[in-house]
Amino acid sequence: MKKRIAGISLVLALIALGTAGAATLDRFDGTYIAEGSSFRYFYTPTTTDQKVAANTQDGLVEQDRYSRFVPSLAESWSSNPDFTEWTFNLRKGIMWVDSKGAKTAYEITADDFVEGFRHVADPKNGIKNLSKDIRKLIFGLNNYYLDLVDIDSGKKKDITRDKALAAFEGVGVKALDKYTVTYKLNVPTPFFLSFLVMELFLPVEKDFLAQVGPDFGVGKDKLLYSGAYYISDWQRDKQIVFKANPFYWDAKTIKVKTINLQKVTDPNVTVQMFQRGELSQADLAADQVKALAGTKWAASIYSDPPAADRFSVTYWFVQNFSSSNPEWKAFINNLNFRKALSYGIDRVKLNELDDPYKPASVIRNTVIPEGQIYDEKGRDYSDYPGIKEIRAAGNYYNKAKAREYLAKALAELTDGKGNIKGVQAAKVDMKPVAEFQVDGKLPLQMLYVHFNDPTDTKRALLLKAMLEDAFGKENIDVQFGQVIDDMFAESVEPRRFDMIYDNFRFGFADPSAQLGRLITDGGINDGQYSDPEYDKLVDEAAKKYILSERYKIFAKAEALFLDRCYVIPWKMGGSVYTITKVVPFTSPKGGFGITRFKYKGMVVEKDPITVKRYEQLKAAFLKELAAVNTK
Amino acid sequence: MGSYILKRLGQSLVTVVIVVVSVFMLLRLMPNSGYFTREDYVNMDQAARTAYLRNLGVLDNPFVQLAHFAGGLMKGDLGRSISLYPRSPVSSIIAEKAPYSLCFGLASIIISMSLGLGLGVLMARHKDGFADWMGTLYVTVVRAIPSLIWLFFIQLWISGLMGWPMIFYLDRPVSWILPTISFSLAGLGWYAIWLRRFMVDEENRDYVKFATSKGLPRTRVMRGHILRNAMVVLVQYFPQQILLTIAGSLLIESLYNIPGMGGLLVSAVRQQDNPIVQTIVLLYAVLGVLGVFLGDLLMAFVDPRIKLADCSGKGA
Amino acid sequence: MKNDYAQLPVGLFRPAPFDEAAAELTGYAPYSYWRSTFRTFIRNPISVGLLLVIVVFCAMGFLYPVFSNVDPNRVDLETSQWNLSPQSGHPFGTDGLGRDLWARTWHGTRTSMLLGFIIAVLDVGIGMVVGALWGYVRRLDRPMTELYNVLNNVPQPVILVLLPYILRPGFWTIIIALCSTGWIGIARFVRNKVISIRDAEYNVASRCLGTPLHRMISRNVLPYLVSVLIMEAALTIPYSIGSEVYLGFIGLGLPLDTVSLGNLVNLGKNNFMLYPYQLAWPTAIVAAITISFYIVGNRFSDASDPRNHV
Repeated sequence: MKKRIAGISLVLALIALGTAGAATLDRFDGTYIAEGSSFRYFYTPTTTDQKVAANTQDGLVEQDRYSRFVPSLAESWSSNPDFTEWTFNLRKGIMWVDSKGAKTAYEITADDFVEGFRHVADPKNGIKNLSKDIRKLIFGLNNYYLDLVDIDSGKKKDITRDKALAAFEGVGVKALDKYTVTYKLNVPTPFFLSFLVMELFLPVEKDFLAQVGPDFGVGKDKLLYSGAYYISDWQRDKQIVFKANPFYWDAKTIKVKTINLQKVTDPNVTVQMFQRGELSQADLAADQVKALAGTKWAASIYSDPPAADRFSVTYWFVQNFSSSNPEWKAFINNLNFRKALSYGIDRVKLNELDDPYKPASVIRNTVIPEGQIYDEKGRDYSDYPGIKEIRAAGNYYNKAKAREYLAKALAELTDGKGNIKGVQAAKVDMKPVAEFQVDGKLPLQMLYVHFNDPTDTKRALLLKAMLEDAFGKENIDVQFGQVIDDMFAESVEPRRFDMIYDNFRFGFADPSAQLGRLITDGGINDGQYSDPEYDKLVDEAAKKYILSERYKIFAKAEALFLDRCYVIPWKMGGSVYTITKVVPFTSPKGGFGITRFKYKGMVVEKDPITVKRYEQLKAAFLKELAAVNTK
Repeated sequence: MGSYILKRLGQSLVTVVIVVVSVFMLLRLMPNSGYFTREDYVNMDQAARTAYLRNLGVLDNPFVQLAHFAGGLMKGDLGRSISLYPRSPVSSIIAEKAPYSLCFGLASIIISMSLGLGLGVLMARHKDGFADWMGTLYVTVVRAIPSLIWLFFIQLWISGLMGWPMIFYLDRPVSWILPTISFSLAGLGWYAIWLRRFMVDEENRDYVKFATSKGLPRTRVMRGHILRNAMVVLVQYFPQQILLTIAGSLLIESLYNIPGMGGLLVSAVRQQDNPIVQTIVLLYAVLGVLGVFLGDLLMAFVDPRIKLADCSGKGA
Repeated sequence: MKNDYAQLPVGLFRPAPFDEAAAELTGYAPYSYWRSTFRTFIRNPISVGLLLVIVVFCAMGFLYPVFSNVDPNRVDLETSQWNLSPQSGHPFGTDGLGRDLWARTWHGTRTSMLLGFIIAVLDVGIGMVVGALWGYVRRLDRPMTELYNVLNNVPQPVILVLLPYILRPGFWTIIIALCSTGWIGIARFVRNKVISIRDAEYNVASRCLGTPLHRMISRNVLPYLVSVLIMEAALTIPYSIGSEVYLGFIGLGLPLDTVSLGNLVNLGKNNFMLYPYQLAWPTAIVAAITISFYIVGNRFSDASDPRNHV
């Protein structure tokens, strides 16, 4: 542990040196688009909520600017050999702070972490992000939760609610003494630390919670602060002001003392405000980048996908293997057709809608994001054999190959006269999304379902043009269906689609976070395919606890999964251009939990960072990162 | 008079109750799926989703929910938001947002009323003259072209031209100018065109011709006869307009990022935040009905010929 | 006297011989309501000019899609064809997917005009029937007034958001949503008119003089109502077109793969800084159409007012 802390302070010293020349500011002016729901930091449906949670509260551990897990409110930890029991030792004498930045009488203790989890685990509190995966991970939690649910619904009557609440004693989150918390898990979890950076594992002061009752988090004075900042001012739908917490355990790393976030919904206004010097940072859409070309700002616009917010998100096309459209069902269950589809989609062109400059920079062919998880030797999971080749392939689009595979598929599926074997004319009833007639002949009719918003509609139109170009209009006819606002309930769950696209965040630091829920009947197996061979590999991998062995089998599973085209991954989240006065690589980096929203350690300069400077900093940072990871 | 007022209030109450109850029931027609995002569906299983909905109280029988709402209302409790700002008391949300809309609304009413009525008089007085022509042109443009278009250009061009902030800041009065103007423009046209029309109508009346022919100076005819009689028709709308400024404007408030009431109703309906929707509908209905009632009182006050009890049959 | 007109400038006046038949005519004016309305209307060059604008836009909107084979939703896979500024081949330029804005604008004009016409016809049709009943049948007055109060106090956003959930978002849903609140205003207007005309002095007098009912309706009541209704219809059209733009802005408009002026304006607005023409064309057409309808409606209402007939 000591070594790590020493490492951090060395890094901090380096930052201090690196920025010594430029004038730094102790203020950051930013924007947010949607008002947060509340300051109840356990429940963070919007990014604004996540910003609040990440900056006003600290968890047991956090991720540093190299994405490593480092001590936060816990100063050290250990686990038993099979990773089912984790013990955390807290810092002593850290106090909760109120919305005036004053120390309260409450100390942050082990009980606060237990209390926080008790709050999260009670269904009455409506903490939606308590996922079923986590309920099944923490010992005793699922039963406790479901008991309470059954009591509330009147299904279970043999026990009172109070008694059921008392059963929290049996859940595997405990305070051994004032400064020691333990978590007992159902399955060996070597990557448990990546759960602890989620908002669900934040602490709350019991007495204060009891005092504010249902008002917890409805205003800035209705919560206490354990993080680097407290909320000093807040106007709903207008402004949130963070001020540095003077009693923060790591106060010396906080360079920026005031963070002022304003609600600005129009991105064009954001850019104007930045140009007028009212903001420290503005994210730019492709069109705005174009509009700024040739101005003095152009030298400071850069895009840094791996550092962007949504990097750990992967977008993929989902195909419906059990579609009620008989033509599509026949085709999609044919591997050659799926390959033809995969070759027929020009990912770069699709992304050109979002980024006309470097559309290829965010293409992703794999499910698991790169640069997120490393084995014990410091090797990136995405560099494992099988995966590495798929990544290297880049844009899969290849019209000739698409036609070749389509020809194979047509040979297998049709009688050569345009009739699809075994498919009769039928009416496809996917109301209210769509309703259409299929005739059992070519062209194959497919229903692509999308949101009724400008970008999604454009993407759909482009995809249609692309597929009809690659396969020929005589072979495919893409139809559209729209969902109003709930893709899942309107389209995914009732299987009212042939193809949709969706995106999923890599939730915790293990390939099983995605691969484990893509198995037959898995949580996000929305296409309802089934491949026993893949299921078996995933199952096998999950039983290995040495990371390199575990990753090797997972990589094999993922490669097989991708080769059989059960979903078509096509890009990562991100690709946001930015113009900023924040020195890159100074704040925490990480795709898990709420880490990426932390402003801790951020350094703001007077002038925008130029692309040149960014390149230099990036080269230096990558060198440091490589050194850190192989250590 | 007293019994008339009581009767009117009784009728108004019935209207408000019907409005609130019908919206309340309409809201229950919406599918519950709106309470979950795509991510929620990935995270939550059926049991968790049902539990969540039950705790929001949206699974109860609509009539039970209605009784609950009415009960809370009696105690002055409007409930708490369930999805837009979960758990925040609805009353405090409205108390935070309404002042913005009210201030802009009232300021713009003062501006649009004084300028609009002035323009209306000018247009009526110089009927078919230059002022009338320009005024008509203005009103036509403001009323005919979708307001989104000209509001957008006002924000874009005038803020650029004058170097004013593009959005509203509480502590920078210069940023209040454009939203106030934007709020006023449509109202200004409304007052001008209707006053002109009513005045022109009155001008053709026999009593005006008589007054003119007996030698009354034109200014006196204008002020004492035409304007006064024309205002009687117009004045009944004033109270409702003033009261409903609380509703704000979705377009203007979203363009200038004013944290007012404008977008609240739309986002609350969309996110199925029933407690907020109910409260707003109740509030607007009460104010709307009250405004009509006050308008009738005001009209009777301005025009002594009008006896309130007589027009009760015509309703609100 | 006789010598006086000889002093008048020659050429301006000429003596008219006495004509008995012509003298008879002054006793009974061959008054035709519609002819007078029409005559008063076309006397004003602005009205005629704007009517012409409407006719031209209608013709373009309804004929272009028939005679042109350019698909307004045809996406160009060649990115060099995206966001082209106006040039030959693409008189209005292309949008962010290489779709031809010329074609889109006229298809959009058709959609929006159609929307406006249908809403106007429905609103006025329902409003007229209900309003007439409301005015004539005294028993209906109470419940109808209550219905009016209720509908008037249900905030429109509630209906606009709820309807697409119950139906599907689309052309007819927008029409139903806008009509659901529009007709009652017109009905109330008609009702007030009917009541005031029914009890107006000249009608009472007419009745006393024994004018038959059909003549009362055709000569005394209908002219007033028809002018009012046509004006309402003419004003509903720009209002509906404007509403569609507004609904698009708050995300409740037509599906975005439907080409309409509202969708074009809102898509253009997003790119205004970079490609101003993408907003300019649809905006200009929306403005021209709405202003024309508004003025023509008002002028027609003036022209159709029997008091303005000479």
